[in-house]
Amino acid sequence: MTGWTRWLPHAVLLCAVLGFLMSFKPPESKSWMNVRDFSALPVLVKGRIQPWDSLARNALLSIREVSDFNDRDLGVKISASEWLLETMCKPAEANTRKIFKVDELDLKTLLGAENKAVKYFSANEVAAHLGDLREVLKASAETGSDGRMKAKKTSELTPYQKAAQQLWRKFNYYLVIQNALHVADTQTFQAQMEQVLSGAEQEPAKDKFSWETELSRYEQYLPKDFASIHAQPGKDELTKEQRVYFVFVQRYKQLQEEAAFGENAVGITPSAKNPDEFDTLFESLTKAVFAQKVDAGVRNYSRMVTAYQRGDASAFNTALTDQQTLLAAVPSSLSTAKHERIFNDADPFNFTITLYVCVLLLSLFSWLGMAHPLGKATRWLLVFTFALHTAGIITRIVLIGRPPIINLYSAAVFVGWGAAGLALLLEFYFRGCIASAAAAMVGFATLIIASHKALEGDTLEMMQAVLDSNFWLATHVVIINLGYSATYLAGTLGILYVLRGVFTPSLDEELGKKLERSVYAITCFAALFSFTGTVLGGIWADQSWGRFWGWDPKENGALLIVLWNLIILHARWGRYMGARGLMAAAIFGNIVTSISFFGTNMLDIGLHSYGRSENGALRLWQFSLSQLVLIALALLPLKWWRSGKQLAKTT
Amino acid sequence: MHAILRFFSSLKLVITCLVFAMIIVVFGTLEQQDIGPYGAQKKYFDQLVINPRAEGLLGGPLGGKTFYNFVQGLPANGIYSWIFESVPLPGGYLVGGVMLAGLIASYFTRFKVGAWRVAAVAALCVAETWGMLHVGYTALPGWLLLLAVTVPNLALIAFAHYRLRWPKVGVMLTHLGIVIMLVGGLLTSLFQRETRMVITTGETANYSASDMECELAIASDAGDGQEDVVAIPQSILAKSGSIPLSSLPFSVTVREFMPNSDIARIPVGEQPPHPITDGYGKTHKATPLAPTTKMDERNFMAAYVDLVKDGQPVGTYLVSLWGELFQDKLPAQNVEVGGKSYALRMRPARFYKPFSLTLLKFSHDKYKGTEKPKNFSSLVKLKDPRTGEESTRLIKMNEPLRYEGETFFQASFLPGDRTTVLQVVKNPAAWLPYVSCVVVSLGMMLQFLVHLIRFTQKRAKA
Repeated sequence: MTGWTRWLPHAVLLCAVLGFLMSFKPPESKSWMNVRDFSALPVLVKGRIQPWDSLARNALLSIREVSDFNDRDLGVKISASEWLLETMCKPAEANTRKIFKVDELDLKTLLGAENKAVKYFSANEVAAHLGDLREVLKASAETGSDGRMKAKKTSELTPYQKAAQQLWRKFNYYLVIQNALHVADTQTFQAQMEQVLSGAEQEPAKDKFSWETELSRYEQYLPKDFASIHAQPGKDELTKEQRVYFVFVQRYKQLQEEAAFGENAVGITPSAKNPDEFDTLFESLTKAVFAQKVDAGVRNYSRMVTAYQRGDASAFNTALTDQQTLLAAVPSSLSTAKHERIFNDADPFNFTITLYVCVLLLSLFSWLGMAHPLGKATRWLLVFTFALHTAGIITRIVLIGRPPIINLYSAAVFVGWGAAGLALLLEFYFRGCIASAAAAMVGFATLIIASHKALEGDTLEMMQAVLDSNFWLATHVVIINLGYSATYLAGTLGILYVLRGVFTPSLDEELGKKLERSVYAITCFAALFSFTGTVLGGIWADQSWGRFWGWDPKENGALLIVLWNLIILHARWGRYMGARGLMAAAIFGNIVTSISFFGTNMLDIGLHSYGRSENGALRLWQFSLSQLVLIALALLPLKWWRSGKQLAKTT
Repeated sequence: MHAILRFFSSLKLVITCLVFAMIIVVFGTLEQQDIGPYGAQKKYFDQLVINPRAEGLLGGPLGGKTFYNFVQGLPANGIYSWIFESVPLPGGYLVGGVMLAGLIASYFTRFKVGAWRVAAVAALCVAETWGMLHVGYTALPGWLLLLAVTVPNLALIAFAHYRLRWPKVGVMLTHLGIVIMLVGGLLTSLFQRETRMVITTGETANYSASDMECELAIASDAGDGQEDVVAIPQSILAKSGSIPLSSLPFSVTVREFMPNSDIARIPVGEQPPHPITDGYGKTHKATPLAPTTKMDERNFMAAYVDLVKDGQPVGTYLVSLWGELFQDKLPAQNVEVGGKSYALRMRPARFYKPFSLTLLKFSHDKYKGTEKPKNFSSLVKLKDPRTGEESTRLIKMNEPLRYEGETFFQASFLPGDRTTVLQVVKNPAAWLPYVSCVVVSLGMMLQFLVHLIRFTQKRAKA
């Protein structure tokens, strides 16, 4: 290496590090309000303490399918947290934001879109057509044999009905979020209240009510003796104050109804009895009658809401500081949420995707020329990428206090990581960037799959009771996924062999041997990991249900990988297949692994049917077909390979 | 002899078996959509040959109806349809059996253990089996015992032969582990028994009941609040014909047995299908249904039986498992024979334990704000009058109670969160997979590690 090329690896690495640091930069806030610290406050959603920021990102991911709000038509771009704050505090403005993503054409028509290119709809637009939407949903239910209405199976629905159902869910989710911090329409309520009070001492109704004022009024009218007020028989005997209290109760009931949409309720303030459990706004307001005062956290939030509505930054920030001081009494939740917020900002996996693309490009260039400096640069970059990938996984482990794989999302992330790790080992033995390229391909593909899985909801979700065993998650699940990693890596190496051999003259005898050895070695790994992982899974099942092997689809899928790897190894030992046969078999391993990884979850049976997706089956077919084409290429006679002559010498 | 060994130990046969294993696993998994895991297990895995042309549950197109309908939509569907409808496949037992034979044969050929050693090992195995049977070992039938003792003998001879040449030892260990696993799988499929114990808070149970099988219980009062019960297992009922009962003054003759049935009120003006003497058979009739193997369904057996005393019929009755579900409409039926009253009742087959469990508390925790279960657990009191043991145990997900060779798992609960359902599993071969896992993993690691080390050494020299 001479001259400037000597510095190439350093330059590449520096660029990568700088790029990561740049991407780490938190989004700027347009106002003086400390939205950033607000979004690090803890809330409890689906049983998990998390920052508002995660709630905001996951909500946007599931409603708009991106994690920030970027309206290109209006040129508005705001962060997830800012969007959330607006949605919770200023419903009127928020309802005009185009956030509901709809792809289905008929559904667009139903929502009144004249232009079919329109993708996003506002809450107001959806709300205006709720009646029509309900009609569609009714048609998607059927009368069961017992006479009750029953939702049809997803597989029996038309795309239109599916899209309508999805939109319905999204809209309900949106409503729950909108009512997480305050109840809208304070002024109508004010009128109601004054009506009850009129005749008695006049309320000084000069100012319009804010949410903050409303809560102080609520506190003021909380009945002193709760038991007596409910024991009284007729409404006529109630005092005016008591009647005002009932107006409040009536008003807050709507919160409960919206929260009844279930799974998405947001716990905003630590429960008095058990600080690990958070109360929702409704729960807290209901309990206020026992405590004779509104919860301090809810009060702080009411000040923030009011300050935000008025654009009063200093009041907002004071209330925020008060809330932080209050939550310091529940230290773990505050710091957990804060760390998760930082992790959200860093978004390491997103940047890792870019890095894998760079690794792939660098490897490709290194095959064209300047093999030495470019090769070194590729390796360094792969090491950095792997380190970042690892750091991301470790952070997730720390955040949830669980082993790395808890759902399909984290499995996909982990499989890419495992492949990259194994490829680094290979690269260490056999230089030539071919393993790096394979690692980059697997890493890129799995992380893209993961980002699609992230659309389905919180990726740090809590575990089902059945799976709640850190020991087995750490052993069986990790090992079996390393088996997937290895099988994919072997398959990808096979693809590179075929592509370079068939389409370029660059596959020489030495490289061919290298690849053969690599694929063989990785297949050995794959056999070991997939076998051990599968048997450990059986042992877990034996421990949990007393059944070592239940022929569950996922178990069978894992077994298929084991069997296929064993077939490759035995065929190799028996010399029934040469280099090209080995590569074709390794590529077929990609199909087997994908079926095991994703396909088995698509069957609606068994304990592992946790990750079904709409287009999954189609994608799986397409992928399998592409692999079959590659296998066909691998089996072409050598004379049609552009590297055929060089390879023919040895085989 | 040598040719046979060569045939079974050939790599081609191994690969063929592995390929067939993949094929039946794929079809067996697909068909689960229609017949559930248990049905698929019966049709594909616990089977010598899978014949799509067979009658009943074990027949039908490969991969099941859902898959078959999917295939019908493909171009050139005629060919596939014909294949899936008519080509028989080797079943799990056949593939596993051939692989097992191959593994054992390969000990003598691939690892080049001479013919005299084959004889020696065989003799050793037979001798050991004979010895164990001779001292009164009865837990396993003789042929299985023979198979079981073969495993350690093979290990022994292999180690003696190779004198710790590591890569070879690795290969041997790996294959030995697979032998253990196959044997374990066979034993499990033959001897595993899964039943359920249902206990309501505060109550005590001393038996578990089967989800799959029923029995006909004939109970008579024995005084002191005790009952004498004679239970006729389903396997005997299913044979039909006359069943002599030595401890009762009458015998039972099965007129008709239905492995699954529907029950309905007899319409006015219609007669019962058999001349019923008394009981709910007069107002209700059972009609046979095809048995189901789906996970969320169960079979409701029913039978028309005659009670016969001294060759003279006492009466004809309908007994049905539906009676368990509708105890008020279909109560136990009382029969007077020789001045004594007997209660006739068909119920899930029971397995009594010499100990009892009392449910102190059932807990069902959810994650706050969700319906997602966080934990299920049952706090039980275990009482064993034989040993005087009395202790409180907590059974929860992933932490079963193991006692007397049976394992009690938290399986389910009834609505209301007061009644727990424990799965009770008895599997004498449960420990074999553990051994196999350790042995195979060790073997593979040894083999690959040795290769890796050699490879690095070569690189270092080069």
